[in-house]
This record gives sequence, structure tokens and C-alpha cells, in this order.
Amino acid sequence: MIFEGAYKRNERLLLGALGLLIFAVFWESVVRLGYLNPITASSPSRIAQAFASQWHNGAILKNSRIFLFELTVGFTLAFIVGVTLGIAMGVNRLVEYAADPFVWLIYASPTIAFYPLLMIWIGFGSATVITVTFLLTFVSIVVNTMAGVHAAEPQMIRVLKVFGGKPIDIILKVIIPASLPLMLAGVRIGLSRAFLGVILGEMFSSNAGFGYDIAYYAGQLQTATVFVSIIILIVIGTIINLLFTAVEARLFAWKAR
Amino acid sequence: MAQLEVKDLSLSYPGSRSGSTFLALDKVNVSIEKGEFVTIVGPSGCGKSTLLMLVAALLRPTSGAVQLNQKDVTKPGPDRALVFQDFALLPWRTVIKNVELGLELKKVPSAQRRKEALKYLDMVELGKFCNHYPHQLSGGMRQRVGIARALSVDPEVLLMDEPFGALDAQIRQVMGLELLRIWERERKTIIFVTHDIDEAVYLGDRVLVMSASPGRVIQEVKISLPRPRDLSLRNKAEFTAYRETIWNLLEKQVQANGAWRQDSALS
Repeated sequence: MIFEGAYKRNERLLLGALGLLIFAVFWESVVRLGYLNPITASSPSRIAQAFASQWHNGAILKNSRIFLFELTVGFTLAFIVGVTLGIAMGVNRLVEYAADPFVWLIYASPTIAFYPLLMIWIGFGSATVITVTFLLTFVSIVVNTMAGVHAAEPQMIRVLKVFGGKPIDIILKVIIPASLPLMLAGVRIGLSRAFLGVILGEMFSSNAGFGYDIAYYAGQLQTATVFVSIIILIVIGTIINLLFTAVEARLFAWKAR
Repeated sequence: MAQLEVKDLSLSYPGSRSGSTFLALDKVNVSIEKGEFVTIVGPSGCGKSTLLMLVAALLRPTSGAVQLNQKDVTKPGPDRALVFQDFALLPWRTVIKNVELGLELKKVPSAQRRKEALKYLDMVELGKFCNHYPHQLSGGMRQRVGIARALSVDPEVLLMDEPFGALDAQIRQVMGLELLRIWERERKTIIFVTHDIDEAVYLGDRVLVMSASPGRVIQEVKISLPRPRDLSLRNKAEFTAYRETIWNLLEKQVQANGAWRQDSALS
């Protein structure tokens, strides 16, 4: 009875976990039975061993610290610049026209292709990673914030004017709240691009971090260690996503469901 | 001296053809005493809402002036609070936060703001709903929030732009009654725009009848029905007589300008 209730409440989670478990068992068996090469395909047990050794030598903590540092700095800069520029472009047509070409050119350009150039200009290491992360991230925040500002209803702005609101009141009390849903959609896209930016940056122009480790160990055919990094990135990504969803749910309690 | 004076107010827009102009309001003169309840009726497109927007200073006149206490009105402000036809509540704010908006802009400290907002929410009988969001309320309740928001800033004049136009017939009557009850208590000057003749007669001390484009005030009808008024008034002979008078004035306008365009948004 108690179990049945507990099961019903967590059905989604439990069945999901079961699916993953079956996949892991299948993977392990296929490798053990010799259908797949353990060196290239790795296996759950090998990954567990690799995890233990990476944990003991401190690589996981060190890489996580580097990853989160680069992600946080790159993303935060992109958020501040993106939201400010997006609002300025949305509110003022002159700013929009002047900044538009830059935004769209960066948006359309394969940002990753700038890595070699940025390495020449900035050098090897975190600064370059952060720069590319910034470039990859801020454009989707700018574009969506601007669209959000345009979505603010003129009638709401009129309300503020009627009650004597000044332009700054209109921005703070109408434009920002009205643009929040689209702005956050842009932030979400920006976050996933920031993730990619950091990992690719570490692969190309750094000597530390998960991206670097993935490239390095793949070169040595240590696939289990590669998987350790990938799995940790998945975990970090999932946690950030859950936090983001929780923030959104709080912010948008006012929306009709 | 009148509290609110509209002097030779005209407004023209550029017309659809280049070089042409469309005259929306033509030398409108209105003079309103403190505490008066003035209603404005007219065919759709006659500029009655435009007149209200000019008093609110959301629009600038082409010529003429609006004066409040002998001073020219040049920009919007809480001394002329507007109640919108579509309620225009901020959907991301709770009911009480919506009412507090005007007080926030007047820089009233937060504790006092809350107190004031609650007072007016109680007045419109929505005290219990203060933490709801607008989408959780019915149309009538939303407009009561709109009225509380406008009253909370203690305006000199309350401007109401077809405030019950989006509500169904029964709710409309109830809201009319409630508005009268609040007005008897607060004695604010009210300018109330409607296309419903019954509503105009039932609520107003005076009905301004407007002509279709260009908008002019063609007649003022003083309504000498006793107050406080209630719904039974609508069956009395005097009431019917007023309705008849106003309808006759409007009918000519409608005939002169084609159909009575019922649901035009630009009324």
C-alpha cells in the first residue's frame, strides 16, 4: 500500500531510472560478451573505475572549478551586455539601427571559427575561452530581449503615462516585466551556447578543463576517462537546467495556465 | 469657477489621402463643476474617447486647451486618473500591486501604499482577492480593480472611457450601481464616456450629446432625476423621456452618417 503510493508519486522518475539501468546493463553485457571492442566502446564498469581514479587525483574537482569559472564569467558578461543592449535597442530605434548589423553578423558567423584568431590576439587559456563564450551567448540574449521589449503592449505603457510615470518607470515597471518571458527564452538558448563555447574553447585553446581532458584522453584512446568528463558535464547541465526551470516557474506565476 | 474647462478644443489627423486632414474634434467647449458626474454619448467615431484622451493629455490638441483649476493641462498626471475600457491591468502584478501602481509613481512609502490600496480594494469589495492575479478574475472584477487603481491616487477628476463596455449586460448594471455608490461617498468629478444611452442618463447629472465626425457637442441634457438612484428608475416616465430626447438627437446624427457602427473600437 505505502509502496504503491510512493511508486505512483515517482512513477516518471522510477521508470526513467529503470530505462537508464537497462541501457547500462545492455552496454556492459555487449562489451563483456565481446560484441564491442572495450577499448573504443568502453563500458559502465570501466567508466566507474575511471571516475574513481579521476576523483582521487583531483581532476574532477579541478576541471569543474575551471568549467564553472569560465561559464559563469562568460555567461554573466553576456547576460549584462545582452540585456542592456537588448533593452536599449528595443526602446530606441537609433540604437537599434546602429547596433543591428553587428548583432546579426555575429549571430550569423560561425563564432567557433574565430578561435584561432582570438588565440593570436588574446593568447592561450581562460581569457580566450571566456571571450568566445561571451560572443556565442550574448547575441541570442540581445535578439530575444529586443523582441521581448517590442512585445510590450502600448496600452500598458499608456497606463504608466496616465499615472504620471517617467520613461525610467516605464522601462522598470512595464518594459522589463513584459519582455521577461522572451528574454529568459533567449537566456536559455544563450546558456546552452555558453556550455558549448566553454567546452570547445577548452579543446582548442586551453591546457585544462573538461574540454581539454576530453580531447587529450580521446587522443590516447582512454575512452572511459572521456566518458567521465562527458557524464559530469551532463550532470552540471541538468542541474543548471533544473535551477533555471525553478526560477522561471517563480517568475511566471502570474501567467494563465 | 468650473473645475475643468475644455476650451475650443480641436484635433485633426493627417487624412488617408496625402495632404488631406481629418477633423476628429471641432471646437469642443465643456465646463465641469467639482463633484459633477458628466456622461458623454455619441455615435461611434464621434471622438468622445478622443476627447477623454485629450483631457488625460495622452494626445495633444491641434488647437484649444484643457484647463484644470484654471491651469493648462500639458502632460498626463494622477490628478486625472483614467479607467480603461479594456481594464489595462498589468498581468504580472497581483491585484493589490496593480492598485499600488499609481501610488508607487507618486512615491508614497510602501506601508502607506499598501494601506491605501487595501482601503480602495475594500471599497470595490475585492479586499479578499488582493493576492490574486488579473487572469484569475472575471471581467467585472478586473474593472473594479481598474477603478480602485484610479481612485487610489486621489484624482481631481476621474476619466472613464466606456469602462463597462467590455462587460455583459447584467454585470454592467451592477457596476453602474456600484459606481454610483462610490461616487455618492467620494464625490469625485467624473467624466464618463459611453455609447449606451440608458447608462448615460442613469449615471449622469448631465449628458453631453456629441455629433459624428467632426465631433462636436450638439447638446447638453441636464438630468434632474433624484439621487441616490437605483435600478427601478429605469421604468419611470421621466427616465424614458430623457432617453427619448437623447435618442432623437442621436438618430439624426446616425442618419446623417450612415449606420450606427456598434462595435467600432474607435468610438
